Amino acid sequence: MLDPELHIAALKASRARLDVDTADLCCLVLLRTIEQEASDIDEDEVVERLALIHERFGESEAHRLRAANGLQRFLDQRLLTRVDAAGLSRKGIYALSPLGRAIVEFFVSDDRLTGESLVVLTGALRARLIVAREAAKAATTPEDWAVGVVTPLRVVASDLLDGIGRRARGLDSDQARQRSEVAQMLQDDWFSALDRAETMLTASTRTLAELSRLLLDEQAALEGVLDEIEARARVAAAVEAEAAARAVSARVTALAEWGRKRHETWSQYLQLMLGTLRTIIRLDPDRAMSLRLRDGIRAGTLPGFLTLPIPARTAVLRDQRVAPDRPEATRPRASEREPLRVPPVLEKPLEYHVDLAVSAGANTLSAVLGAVLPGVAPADHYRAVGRIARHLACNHRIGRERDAAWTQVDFGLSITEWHLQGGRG
Amino acid sequence: MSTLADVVADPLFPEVDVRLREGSHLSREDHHRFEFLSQSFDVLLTFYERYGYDLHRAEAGFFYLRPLSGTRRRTMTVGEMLVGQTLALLFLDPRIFATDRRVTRTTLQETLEQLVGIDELRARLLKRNLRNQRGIAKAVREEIDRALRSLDRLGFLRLEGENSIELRSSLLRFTEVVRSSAEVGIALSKLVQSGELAADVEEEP
Repeated sequence: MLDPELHIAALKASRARLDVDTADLCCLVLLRTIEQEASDIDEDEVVERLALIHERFGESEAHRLRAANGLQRFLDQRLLTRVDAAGLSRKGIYALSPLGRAIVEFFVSDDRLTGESLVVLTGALRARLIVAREAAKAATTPEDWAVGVVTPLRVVASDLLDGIGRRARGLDSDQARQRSEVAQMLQDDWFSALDRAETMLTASTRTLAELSRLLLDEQAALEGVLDEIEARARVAAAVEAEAAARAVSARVTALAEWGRKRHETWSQYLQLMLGTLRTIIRLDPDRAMSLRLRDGIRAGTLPGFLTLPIPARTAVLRDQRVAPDRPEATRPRASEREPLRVPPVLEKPLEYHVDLAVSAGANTLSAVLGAVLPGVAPADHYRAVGRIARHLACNHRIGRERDAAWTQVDFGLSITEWHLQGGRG
Repeated sequence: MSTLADVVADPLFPEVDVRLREGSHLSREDHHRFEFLSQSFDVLLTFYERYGYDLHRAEAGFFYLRPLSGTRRRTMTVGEMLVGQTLALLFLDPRIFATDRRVTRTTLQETLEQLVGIDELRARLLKRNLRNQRGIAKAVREEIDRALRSLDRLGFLRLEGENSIELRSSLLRFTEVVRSSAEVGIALSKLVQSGELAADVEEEP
C-alpha cells in the first residue's frame, strides 16, 4: 500500500521533476524507434536525429545544442539511462528507462477499441480476477485479503478497465469523425458519396456489433468470478474486499451496457442516415430542386399553403348518473315571510339591547354579538347581525384592521372584527 | 397486419390515429410508429377514406392525412410555410449530416435573414406595423418561435431545449411545389387539385 507521506517527503527531498514538452515527446518517440531498431542508442546518431526534431519545431537555440542539452535533460529526469560504463571519457550508449518507455507507449498506443484489443484486455482482466479469486480462497488474515484481493481489484482491475474505457472513448471520437467525413464526402461528390458512406458506416456497425457481443460474453465470465470473490469476502467479513469486488462488477456492467447502447444507437443512425441520403439523392440528384427552393424563398414566389386536417373533437361518453333531487331555489315573498320574532327575552327592540351591551363595556362587534344574539332565535341570527352591524356603524366610529382575517364567533358565524372607537356624536 | 381489427387492437394504434388526425406527419425518425404505419398502410388507407382523408405515403417515406375534397380542412400560416421551407432547404444541405441532422435556432434565423433580408422578413411575418427596431426584432423572433412550435407539433421537426432543432424527413413536404422543373403555376394547380396545397390561407372555421 502506498504511503503518501513517505513518498511525498522523498520526492521533495530529491527535487524530482518531470518537464516534457511536445518537442521532447517527439524526441522520446524517436529514441524508442531507434532502440527498437538497434537495441541501444548511440549518442552521436541520437544527437543528429534530435536536432532534426528541434529544427521542425523552429526553436531559436542552435538545434544541435538543444539536442545535446535534451539528452542531458532526459538523463537528469531519468527518462534515459546510460548503459555503458565508459564514464565521460567517450560518447555513451543509452536506453530508455521504464519511465521513458511508459510515456512513449501512452502517447502512441492504439486508442481504438477493436475486437482484438478487447479480447486481449478482457482476457488480461479475467486472468487478474482469477488470481484474486484464488487469493480469496486462500486468504485467512486481513493482510491476505488486502494484498491478495483488495489491491489487485482496486489497482490492476481498475487500470485495465480504464484502458478499455479509454479505448471505448477513442471509438466514440472515431464515429464523430466519420460523421464529419460523410458530410464532406457528400459535399464533394454528392452522387458517388452514397456507396462510400454506406461501406464506411456499415463497417463501423459491424465492429460495434462484434464488440457488443464480445462485451456481453465477457461480462458473464467476469461477473461470475467477481460474484465468487464477493461471496467469499462476505463470508469472511472482509468488508473492503467485498466493496472492491462490487465496484469492479458495476464497472463491468456499465461497460457491457455501453457496448449495447452504442451498437443500438449507431445502427439506428445508419438506417436513418442511409435512408435519408437515398431519398434526397433520388429526389434531388443534381441539386436543382434545392436551388429552385432557395430562389423561391428569396423571391417570395413559392405559392400555396400545405393543407392539414381539422382535428375532430372526440366525444367522451360518461357513465349515466341520476341527478339528485334539489329543492327549488326560491324564497317566500316578503308578505309571506314570517316577521323577525323577538323572543320574550328581547322585549325591547334589538337596537336597545345593542346600546345596552355597548354601555356595559362591549367594545367589539364579537362582544356585542355575544351579548345580544343569545336572545334572538337561531333562524334569525343572520339577519339580526346585519341590523346590529348597521346600528353600530351609524352610531359609533368603527376601527377595522386592514386585511383582517375572518373570526369564528359562536352561533355558527364568521365575522371580520370591528373595534368601537367612541360615538359619532 | 391483415385485418382492421388487428390494426385497431395494436397498442400503437390510438396514439398514431390521434396524431394523424391532428395533422402530424410520421416519418422514419418515429421508429416504431413508422413501422406500424408501413405494415398496416393498406388497411388504414380504406379506414381513413371513410372519414374523408387520404392516408398519404410520400415519396420521401413519411405518412400524413390529406383532406379529400369536401372534407373540412385548414392550412399552414405564412410564418409556418416560410420557416418550414427554410428548414427543408437546410435539410437538403449535405453538411447537415455532420451535425446529425440538427441545426440551431440561431442558424435558422441567420439563414432566413440572409435569404430574405431583414425588412422583407418583417413584412412577410408581421401583420402589424411596429415603429421601433427592438420591437420589430422581438416580434419577428416570436413569430419564428411560434412557427417552430407548430411545426414541432406537426412532426416536421423536434425542438430540443432552447436552441437545438432536429430536422425530420417530413420537411420534404415543403419541397412539393419545386419538385419538378415544370413551371410553378402548373405544379401548383396539380397540387391544389390533389388536395396537397391550398392557394390561400384557410383558417379553422
